[in-house]
This record gives sequence, structure tokens and C-alpha cells, in this order.
Amino acid sequence: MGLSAIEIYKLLPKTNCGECGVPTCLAFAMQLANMKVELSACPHVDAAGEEALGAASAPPIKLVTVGDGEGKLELGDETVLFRHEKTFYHAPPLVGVVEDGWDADAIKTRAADVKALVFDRVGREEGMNAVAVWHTSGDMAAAATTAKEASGMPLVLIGSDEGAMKAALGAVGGDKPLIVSAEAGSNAAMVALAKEHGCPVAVGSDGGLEGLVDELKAAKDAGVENIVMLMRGELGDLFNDLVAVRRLAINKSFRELGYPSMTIIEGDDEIETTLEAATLLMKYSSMLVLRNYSPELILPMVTIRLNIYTDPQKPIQVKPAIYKVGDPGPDAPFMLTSNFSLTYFSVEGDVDKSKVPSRILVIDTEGLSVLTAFAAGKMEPDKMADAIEASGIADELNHKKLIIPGMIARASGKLAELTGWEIIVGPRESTGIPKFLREL
Amino acid sequence: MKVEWPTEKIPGSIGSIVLGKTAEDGGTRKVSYTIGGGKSMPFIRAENGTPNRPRIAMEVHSAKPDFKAMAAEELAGVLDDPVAWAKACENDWGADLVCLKFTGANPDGEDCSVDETAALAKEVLGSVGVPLMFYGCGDESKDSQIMSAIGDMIRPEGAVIGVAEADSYKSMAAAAIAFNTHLVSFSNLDINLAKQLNILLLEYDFPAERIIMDPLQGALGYGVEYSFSVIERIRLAALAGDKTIQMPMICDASVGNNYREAYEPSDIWGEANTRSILWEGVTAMSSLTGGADLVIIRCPSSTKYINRMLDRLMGGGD
Repeated sequence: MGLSAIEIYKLLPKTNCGECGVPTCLAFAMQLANMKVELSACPHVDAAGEEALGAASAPPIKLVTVGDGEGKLELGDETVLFRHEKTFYHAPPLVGVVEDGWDADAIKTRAADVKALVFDRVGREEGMNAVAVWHTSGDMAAAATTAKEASGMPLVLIGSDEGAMKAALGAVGGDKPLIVSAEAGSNAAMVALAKEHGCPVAVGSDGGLEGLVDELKAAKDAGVENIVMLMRGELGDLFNDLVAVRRLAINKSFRELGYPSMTIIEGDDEIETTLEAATLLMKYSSMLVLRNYSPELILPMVTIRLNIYTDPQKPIQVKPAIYKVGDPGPDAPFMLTSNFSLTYFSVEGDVDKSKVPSRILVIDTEGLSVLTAFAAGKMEPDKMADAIEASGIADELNHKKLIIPGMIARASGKLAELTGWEIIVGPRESTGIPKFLREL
Repeated sequence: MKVEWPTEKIPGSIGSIVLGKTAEDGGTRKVSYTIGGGKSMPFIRAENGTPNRPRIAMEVHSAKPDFKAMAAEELAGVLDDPVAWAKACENDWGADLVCLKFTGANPDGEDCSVDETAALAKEVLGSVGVPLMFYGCGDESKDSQIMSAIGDMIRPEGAVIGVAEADSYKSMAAAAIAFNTHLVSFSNLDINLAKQLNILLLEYDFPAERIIMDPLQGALGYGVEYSFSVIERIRLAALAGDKTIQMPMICDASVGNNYREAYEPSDIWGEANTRSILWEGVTAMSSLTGGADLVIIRCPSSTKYINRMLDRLMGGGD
């Protein structure tokens, strides 16, 4: 966004009619500058203003949608270079691969596996998001149909053969798959098919970023709006190109490269390719096609994606519940802590280290750490007492002893009164837990 | 259409540090390395983001640790023999440095004596040629005694000692000054705390060019989102010209081995050894991508793969 609120205001009708839902034109301009509203909300802006503002208010990196209906994917539309500046918005889809040269059963099995690969990460389901059908030598239309039926996921069609792509689009084009032109030489044909079927298209270039600008312009001129940049190259070059296009789009408002970028990770070594993919995910790849596939490779990928693409302003929270570390019996220690992820992970790790099987009750503190939560009234004795009661923990234990964090020792009297339990004040820092539990 | 590299004005740069001293400089190390010196974000070639290859220090524990999965398997033969462990790091596993952690000296644990610990340090020093790091056990008074006991022996070696923390930095800083070593300044996931500790050290007349910052590495899935951003913010602040935070950074990625995804057998998560390497490896890549100049690694396989990634990112790989 190149224009300030004041510059935008000058282009608005300045009538303060309020029909946009915002009381004044200046307030509307401020919201527009922050990309909180769309210009179309203003019914009275004139054509000249619309043109000037339309160009300026377009996001620096275009939002591209792949697929249709539920489960459709959104790529791009990022506004910062570093996540701490605001947040990264659109987590890169991870795309599994089938080749149309495989037999139908192999395609079906892999597509179903990609769909089934879902992990529970701090209460969220995270997995792969699409299946790529790669044209080698087989029947692309049949393969695409099989992949779609077996996975139910959005598709990515990769190829350079016009006839094969045409046939595949005849079968699944209505689902708005992403068409990936596998070679620069096939860009024009693939763009024409994208236009015909209203699908997004990815194009690359053999001529570096300058060549890429030309290819993107050709696609745009051919009437396709939803364009993705296919970024290729050896890792060091690719890393630098991804940084360059992100910086150009965001810092220099360079529209010619303002599209999401996809990368295809190739190579036989599963560990090396996964580290490569993780590195590119951290630095700006908007979609990753992964040939190597298995749970031990995808779990680290979905985890780093979740870590990088969470909103830094909102702490990751653990679901309030009772968690067991080891295999605690009815006499095992019972303690409570906050639901701020790092607090819980530290406590869990240190309990594990103690080798004393225990139960941990996580209190809903809205993501605040223990001391902050206590100070902010999110970890008050009555709230903790309610959580203990609601958890039904009393039935699981032979004792009524609760360990509380040393940081909230002050709450022990009131908590004992409310619950009738014996309150034991634990260490202030979780690092003290192993020693504490062993000596309990 | 011509595409120009999107140049940015970068007023600051990362300081550089030489790790290890060879005979030429009065030490006994076979190699020495310069780390740091970056003039932009990592691996950005047009702006000389990484003029010196980031280095890998492999950790060695003075007392037998309780490792799991890949770490337990790959290190099985050396876990109770720190000297053999250090030698294997240098000779077999591609470590640039060895980080000897005096975990066995902790009074709450095995409580090995100062003499025993110093004797081990001496043997490791004589057995490997790579530059060395010496990490205390976390007990201030014990660490102070250990550093005094090994001080004369490590003085000529361009070694690194650690860690100095805000509430107990003076004894470690005094040792680093007295024995002419580099010092790791350790802070808890916060750019302001990192800066504050450096300022305390500078006010204590500790030379800026001998500080290496450890902003605390979070493991993949367990705080990487915080450490990644803290590392990036520190690097950006340094490049913006803040002299109190321009020291090279070290990140201890061995923490990646400590969480259950890295070792627990599972029907859902797939094969554990591969997961183990990746958990440490992705943790390390997050800090290298953000701005680390030195990483501490546990598994030989992780070292191999991170070296390979560095080859490729630095441009000499294929």
C-alpha cells in the first residue's frame, strides 16, 4: 500500500455521508490505508479516484485461491517481511505428489494417504493440503480423477504437455485446480488453458527474475488474474530469489513480482529435502510441493509451519484439561499450571525429566504465563477451585494434595479454604520441578 | 524488464570473532575460524549477509546423559567416555568445534569434583584439535571454581566459556577476562534482556568483541516461534546500528532432541530416528535462517545434514 490516509482522503468525495459504514471520509481513508475495508464500500468515489486508489490499495502480493468450495487454499497476500512486524497470514499449503505414470492403485493409495496424514498440534488438525498430479507418461485425466476421488482435496496439475493438461482439465477443471507449467516453453499453452477453464496458473522462467517478470506479464496480458510464480533453482539461489521477490513486492511496491511463489522440492534424500523445504517455508515460499512423503517428514513440516505462521501477538495455548506425564497411579502427584504453551511445555518437560509420573491440570489463563495470569486475575483461587471441581480429578486420586506454582504461593490459603485440599507450594521455576518431585 | 536487487540501506553489521588459536597465535588448536561479520540478513549474497560460514559445535557431556532415539543410538559407544566422544566429533562427525558441557559437576546431580572436571578438560584439550567451548553446570560457585581451575590451561586457546546470565554474570565475566576467553551471554527469549545483559557486561569492562549472545533456542513445536523472531529482531537491530547487540549469536539446537516428537515411538508420527534428526535439524535451520553464527548440535547425523545445508546455502554445494 503506497498511499497514506491523507493522500487517500484527498481522492475521496469528502462528503462524510457515512454510507460506507464509517462516519467520516477521513476515518474511511484511515481504514483503507490499513487495509481494513475495501474501496468498493464507498458508493460515491469518482472514476479517477477509483483508478488511483484501486491500484494503490491492491495488496502487495496477490491473494490466489486454489480449488473450490470447502478446503480451498489461499496463497499469498502477505504484508510483511518478518513475522514479528505483524504476522504471516496464509500458511503455505503442503502438496503431496502422484505421477500419472503410476498404476491406478498406487495413485489411489498415495492420494488417500496424503489426505489421511493429519496430526493434532496443540488442539489443531494439521496436515497436507493438496495433491499434485504430475504428468510423466500416463493418462493425466484418469490420474487426476483418481487423485480427486481418493483425496477429496484441491488438485495441482503439473505438466508441459498441452494435450494431457487439456484432458485433465476436462475431467477436473471445474474444481479450479492450480495448473503448473512445468517448463517455461509451455507457459503460453498452460496460460491459455487456465484462461479457458478459469483456473489459477503457475509459470516459471529459465531467465532469472527478469525472465520471470516477462512470463508473468504475458500471463496477465492473456487475461489470467490468478497467477503463481514457480520459483526454481539450487537452494542458495532460490533462497535469494525468494527474498528478492518478497522485498520487491513489499518494500518497493513492485507489482510485476507481486504474486505468491511456489517451490517444488526434489531430491532423493528424504532428510535433506525436508530441511530444504523447512528453510524455504521460513523464507517466503507460499506453497511447497513435496515429492518425499511419510509421517516422520511431514510432522516436522506442519510443526514449523504452525510455528512460523502463528500470530506473534496471540500466544499459542494448550487446551485446558488434565494431562498425564508417564503413567501416574492414584497416589501420583497432582499439580496445576497456566495454559500458555511455553509454560506448559516447560512444566511437562521438567516433570518428564523427574521420572515421577504425575498429573498436570492446565487452567484456562487465556495464554498468559502463571505470574501474569495471576496478576491479571485469570488465575484466581475461585477459578482454580472451579477447574479442579469440573475436572473430576478427585475420583482419580487417593489423595487431596495439590501442588501449585511457587509464583502464586499467595493463593494457597484461599485455595485450601475453597477446595478443602492440602495445597503444596512448588518451585518458582519449572527447572526446580525434578528435584522437588523426587524429594516430595 | 530489468530487475534490480532491492537494496536497503544497512548502517550496522555483525561483529566478527575468531574461535580457536593455532600455533601461529600461541595456541595448540589445529584450526581456527572467524564467525560473524554479516552485513545483512543471513545468506543474502548481494549484501554479504553471511561472509563467514556459520559453525557447528557438537556437544559433549562430562557425565553420561540419558539420551534417546537417534542420539542414544549414534552416540552409544561414547556416552560414558567424554574424551572418546570429543575425538569422534572431530574425526568422524564433522564438528567444527566441541562444546564440553560440565553437566556432571552439578551439585544436585553427580557432583563430580573440581579436580576431576579440570582433569577431564585437560584431556579433551589434548585429544582434539578443533576450537573448544566449556559450559558450566549452572551452579555459580561450582562453575567459578571450575573455570579458575582450567583457566591457565585454556588461556592461549581462543576458547569460549559460558554461560553468563543476568543474575550471575560477574563471576563468569571475571573468568573470561582473566583467562582471555570469549564469553557466551545468555538471556531468556527477549531482545531487551539480551541487550540489557550485554550492557551489564560492557559496563563491567568486558570487551564487546569477545561476547557471543545466546538468546535461548526454543525447540521445534516448543517455542521455535519465539526464538525465531527474537533472533531475527536481534539481527535486524544489530544491522540497524545498535552497537550493544551486534555480537555474533550462538543457538543451542540440541534442545530439539528433548521433546517427545524427537524420540517417542509412534504409529502416527512415523519412524523415530528420522524424526529425531529432523527435530534437531529444523530447530537448527530456524536459528541459522534467522541469524545464528554458531549452533550447538547433538546428533552426528544432524551435523552431517546441517553442514550439507550450509554448503548449499553458502553456494558451494553442487
